[in-house]
Amino acid sequence: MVKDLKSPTASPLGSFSSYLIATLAMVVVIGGVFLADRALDLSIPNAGVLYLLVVIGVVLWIGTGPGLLAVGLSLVAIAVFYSPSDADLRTFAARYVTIFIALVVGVVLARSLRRNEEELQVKNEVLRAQSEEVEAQREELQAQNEELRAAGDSLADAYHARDQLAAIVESSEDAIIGQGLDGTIVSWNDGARRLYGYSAEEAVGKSIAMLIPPGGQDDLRAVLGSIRLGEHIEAYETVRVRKDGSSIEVSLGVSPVKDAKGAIVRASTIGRDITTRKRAERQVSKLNADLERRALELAATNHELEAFSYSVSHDLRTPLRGIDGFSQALLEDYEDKLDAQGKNYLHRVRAASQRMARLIDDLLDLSRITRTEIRNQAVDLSAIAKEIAVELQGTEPERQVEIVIAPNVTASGDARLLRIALGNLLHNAWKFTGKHSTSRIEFGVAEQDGGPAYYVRDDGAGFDVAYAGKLFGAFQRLHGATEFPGTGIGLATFQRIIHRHGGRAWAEGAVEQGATFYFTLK
Amino acid sequence: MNDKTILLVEDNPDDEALTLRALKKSNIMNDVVVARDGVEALDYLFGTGAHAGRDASDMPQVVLLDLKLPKVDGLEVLRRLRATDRTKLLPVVILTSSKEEQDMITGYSLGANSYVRKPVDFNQFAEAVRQLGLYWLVLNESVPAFGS
Repeated sequence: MVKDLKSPTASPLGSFSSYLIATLAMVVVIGGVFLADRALDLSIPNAGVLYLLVVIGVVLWIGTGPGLLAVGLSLVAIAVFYSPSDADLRTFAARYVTIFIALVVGVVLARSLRRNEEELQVKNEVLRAQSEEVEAQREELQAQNEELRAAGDSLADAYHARDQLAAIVESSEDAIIGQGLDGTIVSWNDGARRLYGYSAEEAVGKSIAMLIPPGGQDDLRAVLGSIRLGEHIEAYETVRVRKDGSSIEVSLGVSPVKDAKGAIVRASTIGRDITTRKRAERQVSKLNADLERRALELAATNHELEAFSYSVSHDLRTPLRGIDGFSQALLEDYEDKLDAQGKNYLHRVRAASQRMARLIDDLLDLSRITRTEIRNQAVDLSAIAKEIAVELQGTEPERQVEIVIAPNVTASGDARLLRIALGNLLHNAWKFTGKHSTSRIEFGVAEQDGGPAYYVRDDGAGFDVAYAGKLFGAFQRLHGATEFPGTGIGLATFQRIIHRHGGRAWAEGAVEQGATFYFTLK
Repeated sequence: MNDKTILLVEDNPDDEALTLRALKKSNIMNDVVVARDGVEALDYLFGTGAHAGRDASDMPQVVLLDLKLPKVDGLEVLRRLRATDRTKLLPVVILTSSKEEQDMITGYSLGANSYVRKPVDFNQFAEAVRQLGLYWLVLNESVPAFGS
């Protein structure tokens, strides 16, 4: 309520300006009153009240000194403007004194008021100072709050980031273990629990050595040593022991962990269970070893078979040659001593031994075909067919055989074996058309199931479809030896060659209506 | 023609008999010396062992060499013949029942002049022998004996 128009606690006797203001105020009032009096005809008491009010106002607002001056001026004014007539002198004096006393009381009251107000003002000043101090402190506190809040925010961010990282570590399938440089476990994720069997409570604080099987301590020392030097260890395969005592094979990666200053304080290990992989690897190794052994065995067996075939081819033929040769010698040297029957027997002996020789040759060929390695290359089947055709025509030039060979028929396979296969088919075609005066043999290729099917067709004796199943059997024949010669191994050989190429062989035909033999290659 | 001998290296008596008969049938009248194993063949050609005292410079016109022989086999005989100056150029015909390709390859690699398979059919065999005889004894020119 007290308005401070100027600086606090003006001195009681004030400055010159305050006196000036008081004087002016009085003059104004007096003038006003005078005019009012003239206009309204005011009496002394009323004027006195007005003067009192002004005096009080001056003391209150300006100061005690100017107040006293105002009192003086009021008295003077009253004396001047209200000079009594003689009759009213006592009344005037009484009123004058009353007014004077009222003025003085007014001054005193006003002064104490003012002092109160001054005290109040001082207290206000103090309060204001205090309040400013409080304000300043409040601002400081606010600033600190801001700082704290900012710090709180970054702490929250840090916690958040830490939580995210922790979540990543926890959710990882790998075992992530943090250990001090002395091997004490400081962190243990869920993956570690699953891998090693210890819970985090059980593991943290213990030494990592509890996971290491006996004898592995040196490795651990070496690893920690490397970590201290700042080295990383990658994909280190070793054995660890689980809580239940079982051993597992793990692949570990160990990295050094640095603090804010860059010093290495910890090692972080990421481990993975490779027991299954290792087991698979061992199985593969074992399988490989087995395979190698089998391959060696097979090679040895093949070798034996070769030796066997070699001796068979030589040793079986020799006595046959003897049988045939001496039979012939008998026929020639003892011709006159033998009758027709005797000669006949000897002829049969010779024929039998020669047939046996052919059988041996065919069997040897068949076995060789199974053993031989296939050497794949581009083979011109048309060219081979042509060569064989020329050969056949050379054996019986008097025969009228039309041989039609489709040009540019090529395939991929073993040239020697394909020659034998094609040769067998063409020889058969030649043989089984032998009873006809004219014949036609064809070689070509047709479409079958999206791939080429090669064929040899003849218009000769054909075969009974009822016996088609026996066609490719070894030594199976659908015709008697007197009808057509043969050992019955030609088609078996042919089929085996085709099968070795991964292909298919089949035949179509009818009695006396020729036959067509088809084959596909891989 | 008659002073040219044929050395037949053959262990099998049947084959020996048949070969001789075939030669006779072909009117080849040359002397045929038979060695029944590799050692005998080498002894004859080098004038050692069982044939010590023979004039080794008197070489046969052709050697008909079987491969499967006891003691020292045909290929080994061939190897030694080719390793010795005196017999390096001696015509050798491998006459064998073996159809094994490897034998043929090895035979030629070791320096055989010819490789003939013995057929089972006697007629064919006789024909083969006749042709051999005619070729090596009559048609073919061979180097006269060394160091005589």
